[in-house]
Amino acid sequence: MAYSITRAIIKRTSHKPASTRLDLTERRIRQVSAWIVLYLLLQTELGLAWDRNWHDYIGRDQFWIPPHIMMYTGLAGTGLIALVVVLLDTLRYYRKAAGVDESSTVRILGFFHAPLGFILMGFGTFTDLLAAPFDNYWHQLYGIDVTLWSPFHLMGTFGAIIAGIGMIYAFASEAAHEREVEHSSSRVLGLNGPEWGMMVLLAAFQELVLPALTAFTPIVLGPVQLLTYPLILVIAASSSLISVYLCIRKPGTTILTVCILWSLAIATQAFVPFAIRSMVAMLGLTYRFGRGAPVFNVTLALMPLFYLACALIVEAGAYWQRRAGEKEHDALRGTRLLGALMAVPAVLIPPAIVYVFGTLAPVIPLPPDVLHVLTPGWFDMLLTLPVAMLAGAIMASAGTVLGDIWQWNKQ
Amino acid sequence: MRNVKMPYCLSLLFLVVVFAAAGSAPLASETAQIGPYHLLLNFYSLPRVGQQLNMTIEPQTPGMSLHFSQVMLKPAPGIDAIPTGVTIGPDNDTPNVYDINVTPSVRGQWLLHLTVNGPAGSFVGEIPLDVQAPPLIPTWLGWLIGLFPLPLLISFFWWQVRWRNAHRVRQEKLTTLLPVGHQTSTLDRRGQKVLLMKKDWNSNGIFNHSSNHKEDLS
Repeated sequence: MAYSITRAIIKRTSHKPASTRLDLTERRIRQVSAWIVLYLLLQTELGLAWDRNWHDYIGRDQFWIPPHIMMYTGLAGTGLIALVVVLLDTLRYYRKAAGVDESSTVRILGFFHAPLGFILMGFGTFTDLLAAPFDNYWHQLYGIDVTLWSPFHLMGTFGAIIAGIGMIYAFASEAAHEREVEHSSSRVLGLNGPEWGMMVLLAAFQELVLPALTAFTPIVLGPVQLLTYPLILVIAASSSLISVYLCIRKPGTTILTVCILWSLAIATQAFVPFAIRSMVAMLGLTYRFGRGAPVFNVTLALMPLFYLACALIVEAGAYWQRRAGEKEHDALRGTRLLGALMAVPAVLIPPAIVYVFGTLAPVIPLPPDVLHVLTPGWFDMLLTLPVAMLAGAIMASAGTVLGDIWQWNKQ
Repeated sequence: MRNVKMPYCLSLLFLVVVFAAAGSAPLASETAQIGPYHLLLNFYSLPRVGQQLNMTIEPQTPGMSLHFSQVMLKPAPGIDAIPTGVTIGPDNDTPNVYDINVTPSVRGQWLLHLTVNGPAGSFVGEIPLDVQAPPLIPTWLGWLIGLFPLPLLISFFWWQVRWRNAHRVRQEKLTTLLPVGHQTSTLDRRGQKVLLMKKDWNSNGIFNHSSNHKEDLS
């Protein structure tokens, strides 16, 4: 309560219209760069979903395949923009430009001064670009179908996570700056531009899990199986939805995030089969294992239903707290419990979607990997539930920490 | 002057001839048989993963004319790869010789699948090729490199958790150490450190600009 009062005080200190702010140039540099990078990261994510299906349906015959080009141009562009912002802000720091000082930048390597988010973005994309030739080399040694759990796939994943976190820091710090202004730049549904950017990013992060969901195959433990798909779902949902709520602290933000996520999921599932079919026809390729052309994956397109259930859990928790007399912008309490509760839809909803399609609409084709991973037995689900609850609680704590940091941080 | 230049010119000519001869000679040759046809394969680059393999194929019997079609490089059983397209065409300089270009994607055994048409009829066969790998790194080293961002990510998160906790404590101290009604915050404003008091804010949290309860701490 105490720090929320302080936050409310700090919120309205700079009583100036946005257009007359001294640091307007700096705000524009950072926000324009952040929006361009957001586009590039979405392009990378779409390329990644395409690449995953390319591996399944066509196979990886060389490095320069179209999905790789889509992915790596997005990453390279992100890295380039991060580098430009770091250099530009270093220059502006030493020229003592408005809005570039110790409070709005961090020092790195003893000389450079730049926003933390752009430094992370640069480091993340550098990691990814470093992982690319190593990954190619690993494929050459061990084959084209090495799974997600290969060293350089994980290196790429960590790089993407670091770049994504950096992107969120960049938007969150801008949102914090925007909140200081009495008449800030235009708002949509009460949210400023950087807050929308944050929601799109966290939606994209959760959507990233969906095309890779069937890579999370069960771990066989003697006669039973530990399901891994609920773990990745609950990790993504509890960390992202709780952090987005705590960063923005407005009712309905998690549901808005899921709406964005859903549109991204549908767009991805529509684009990928179309792109694969087009490239197979254009480049004269053949499908592997005698498979036919890919079709719209209805299971993955409906999977945001799970995230919607989780968003409702968060909003219900926040609503209950407001009814108990807490202010709208107060910290969300009991986040670990909310995270643990998210494990229930994570375990149940994916098999339920597959079951409903299997019984009510058997004419709709379901890919074999979906049937393999998302049709578990009841006992396996019961065994997995406590593990998923634990994962949800832990990641909810992480989401709480990140949400607070993103709400306060202006660097 | 003339005597000085002559040895240089001769050396240069010698080097050009040596390099040209080396470039035109195959690095390796092997024979194969498909149906009744005996074939000679000349490798101008060795089969290495990720690198273009340049080779020629020709009948071993002088004067015999063969035609090659439906050529494809297929992974041998147990090799995790997909068939790779092969470029084949008649050599411009030598009759009855075909140039083959292909880039294998994975190390190990591959099979050059082809159909040979000649005077004895049409025959389909496969010629094994052993594709060499780049130098191997130990698996543990691969994992070590691959996982190097993880400790950095954890350290960064730890650093941020500490920053958040310190920030929280700082804010709580500011509001709890002062008497009720004087809960404050400080902020830098145009280079000045300003102390803001709670009574400067109305019940809706809007800053009251007319009040003079701010203290300049600088």
